[in-house]
Amino acid sequence: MSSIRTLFSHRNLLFTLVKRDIALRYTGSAIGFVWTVINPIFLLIIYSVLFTSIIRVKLGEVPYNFVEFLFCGFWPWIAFQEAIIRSTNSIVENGNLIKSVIFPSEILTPSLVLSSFFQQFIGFLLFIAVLAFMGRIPNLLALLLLPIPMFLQFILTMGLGWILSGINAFFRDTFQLINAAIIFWFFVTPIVYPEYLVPEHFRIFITINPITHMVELYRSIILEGKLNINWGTIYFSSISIFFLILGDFVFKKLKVKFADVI
Amino acid sequence: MEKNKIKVKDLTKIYYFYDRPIHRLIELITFKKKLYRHPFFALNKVTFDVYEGETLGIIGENGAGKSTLLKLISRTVAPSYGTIEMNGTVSALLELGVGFHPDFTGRSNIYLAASMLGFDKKTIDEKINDIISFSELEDFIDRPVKTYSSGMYLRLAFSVAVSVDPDILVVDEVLAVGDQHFQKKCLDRMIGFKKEKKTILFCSHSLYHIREICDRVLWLKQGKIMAIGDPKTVIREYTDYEREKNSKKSKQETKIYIEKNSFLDSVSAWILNIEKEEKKEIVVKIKVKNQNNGRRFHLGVGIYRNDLVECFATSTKLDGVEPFFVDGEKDIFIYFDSPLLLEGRYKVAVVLFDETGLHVYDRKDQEGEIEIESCEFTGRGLFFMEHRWKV
Repeated sequence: MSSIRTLFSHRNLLFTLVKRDIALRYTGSAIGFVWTVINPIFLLIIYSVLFTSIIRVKLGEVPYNFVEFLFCGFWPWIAFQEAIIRSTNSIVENGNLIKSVIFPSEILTPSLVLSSFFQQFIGFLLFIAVLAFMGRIPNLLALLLLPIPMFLQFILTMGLGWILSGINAFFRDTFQLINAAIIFWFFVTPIVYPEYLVPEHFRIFITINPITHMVELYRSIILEGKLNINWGTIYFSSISIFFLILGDFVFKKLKVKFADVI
Repeated sequence: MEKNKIKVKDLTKIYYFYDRPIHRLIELITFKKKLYRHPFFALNKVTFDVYEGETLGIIGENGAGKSTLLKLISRTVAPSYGTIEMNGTVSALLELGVGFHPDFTGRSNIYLAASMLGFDKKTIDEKINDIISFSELEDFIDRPVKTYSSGMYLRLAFSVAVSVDPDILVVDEVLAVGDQHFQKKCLDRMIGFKKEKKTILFCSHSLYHIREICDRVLWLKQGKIMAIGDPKTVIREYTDYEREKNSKKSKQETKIYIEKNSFLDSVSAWILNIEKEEKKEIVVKIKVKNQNNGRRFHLGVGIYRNDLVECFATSTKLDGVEPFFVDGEKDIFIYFDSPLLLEGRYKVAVVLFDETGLHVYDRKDQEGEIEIESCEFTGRGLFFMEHRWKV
């Protein structure tokens, strides 16, 4: 796990990079970091109107409405999507750092993943504030469990990011491919529709998708106030750990050649 | 006892080029290496040692493998074959200002650059004032670096870069930063590192700096070591080679050159005499050779102190002398009847121009040495100035 050790030994650099990336989102703009949440909120409003007024999606027997369901899954997805896309390009984008500074390239992906959490965090805060305002105060003790899915999300995204960024250094096509694949990925994740609406023969895509179980985990904590441990949670955790280990391994193999190809 | 700080053995770096990116993919999938790749040997079986506290200069033409070597030693690039053994921490000044973001202030860029060098926040807090004062950018440090001039940008970058405290320092041609004043500071900083007995690898095109700073010099040509050893000897071999190549390349037909002195090696202008008694005359005799082709020339002569301060320079053109013919060989003299130079070491440069005084046929920089050991003039600085006191 040498890449993970590097994260610890260079944590100061990691946090500086995260801070810089977050600061970059609002330097020079008048209303600052509000922009980070405006785009997703805009999309959320469109989806809410679309799926509650035009296509009426029925959630089934759950103690929350569609908008709550949507918001809860959307923020982690946005963070995941952004982190994956940006990580994939990170090695190519920072070629000059890798070539001319003694620089731990494994730090780029986690810095982007952590930075994407900032957006998710703000989104959740807004969401919980709105819930509370509507008189639906979430179980505060359960919210303390949020670091569990966040940690799993972090290691999964980082592992995937390492693999994709490494491959993209050699084949720039990866970045284009990921941009297309991520759209597909969004629609095989039950974010804008509940899982039970999916026909039996398509459901396999939803079930093997770890992000499905990730958003379910977030929903159970925030909306139901409990941590649902089922086989999906276990699957998601194992996949996350698997990708962390695989990502670490692949990145270590590839990174020695980065300076030659970028 | 000197011990080895860096041991480089059979170091080889091969870059592979592909005509099209898809070829790389085909090679990868089919496991048929060497199908499409074109190898390029950036470094070819390089073996040398660097001792503790030593400054090793690296010279060579563009593309000779100097930067590749430094990158390999600083481990930003992995070798194809061969080994590098090192004792101690390495810091590299390969390129300046990498990772700076134009929208952030100088101060926050210092934090970022310093954390890339591996400093924790506490250390940066301790060092930041030194870094700022070294850069002399106190008034601008809280402004975004996009408002900086390019010189200021480089000064900031250099100041962060030299705030390190490594055992081994790798420096790639970054001394030519900013104005003369700042360049001097950078040089002083390098000499400071040297005095602290750091092991330094220093690559530069400024042979003068190499000669002044380095204990040994390594000359690379097309990825191979041509020579390693005493700076004077290696630099002489290198400059001889360079000149030979240039004269072959550009003016095969015009054999114009300032002849080498037969008794002082690779000196093209030399001092005939410096009388140390009453008359302190300096005479520079320059031999110019040219085939009989009717060309006319101007000649310039400059005197530089050994730290490259230009003390005086003039030319036949500036002095209104008619351009001269050279048929075969000609000895030209310039007499400084009463030079007012104070004691120190000086060098002479000569430049051979065409009849317009613009095109340079040949030049010999800082070669002939004048040493003024003691002189009747008191005072410090460059020149003696006629003066009187009223107290």
